Amino acid sequence: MSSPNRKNILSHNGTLAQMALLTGIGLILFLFETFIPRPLPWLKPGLAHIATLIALYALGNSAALIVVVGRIFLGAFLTGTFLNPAFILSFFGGVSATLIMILMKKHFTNIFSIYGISICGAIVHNITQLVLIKFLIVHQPTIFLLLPVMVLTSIFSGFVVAFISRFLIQKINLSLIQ
Amino acid sequence: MQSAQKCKIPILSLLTTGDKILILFFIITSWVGIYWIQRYQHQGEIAVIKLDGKMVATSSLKKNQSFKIMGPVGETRIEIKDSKIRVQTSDCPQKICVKTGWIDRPFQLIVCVPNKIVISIEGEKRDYFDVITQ
Repeated sequence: MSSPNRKNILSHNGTLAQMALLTGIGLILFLFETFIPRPLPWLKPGLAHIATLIALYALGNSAALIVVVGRIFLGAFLTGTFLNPAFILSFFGGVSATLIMILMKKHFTNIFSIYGISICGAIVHNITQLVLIKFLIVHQPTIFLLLPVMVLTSIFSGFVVAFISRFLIQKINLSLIQ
Repeated sequence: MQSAQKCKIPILSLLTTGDKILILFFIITSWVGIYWIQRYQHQGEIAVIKLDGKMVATSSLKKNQSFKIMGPVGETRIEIKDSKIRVQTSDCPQKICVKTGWIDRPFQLIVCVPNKIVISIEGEKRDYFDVITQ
């Protein structure tokens, strides 16, 4: 699970291909997610962040950001939501979640494992989206009544995502890095 | 992971102490938040009764009354009293709708599956969402 010592990730041909692969995996999970029936329309498991977590742990910080941004842009092109409110929410939510995961992995890696980092990412994703919805769309503070429900579901989905990512990182570690 | 052998549940041994504290902290704060919201939320204004997905009656919770609705199984008697609504009697076998008791807040529901009746409450502000994003 250790990240390789590479200063410039793009200097290595394999890394670029691995990032493209992870972006593709994230994109497929992102599209797959829209077909899963959901109890409430605004709750999503966030499976696409499996690819982000794998990129963060296997390839490093900037790779994780590139994978997330690439996945969100391509997903918006494929679902036809480019530059509409859904895209803006998705973009800022994804980027803020990735930034917080990068910061936590950098500074608190002794305290939190991949589970804590993933759960924090999910919670920050939801909080960012709620704040954006408040200021861009709804303009009513009542939207924050959803926050406790969202935090509870974030804990669950963050845990599941971390579990799958950890399993995959262990399984594909050799083929992905070496 | 020194406590890996001690811990009986394998997933819990993967969590660090920091993880557990983080999860507990967020679970407790969100439960407190949900409790607080339930307690201080404004009461509902209108009861909406749906039969088989179609709205059959709306009624203000302000006036006390009781009326009956015929469903596939039989008759369901609904009572409104003191800004609350309940199912008084029902012909359905399990009587889950009767056991649900009184409801008075938005987002609360009484559901009678055999008789296909759903009673929900709506406040004055009905639109919490303008857009639902995918």
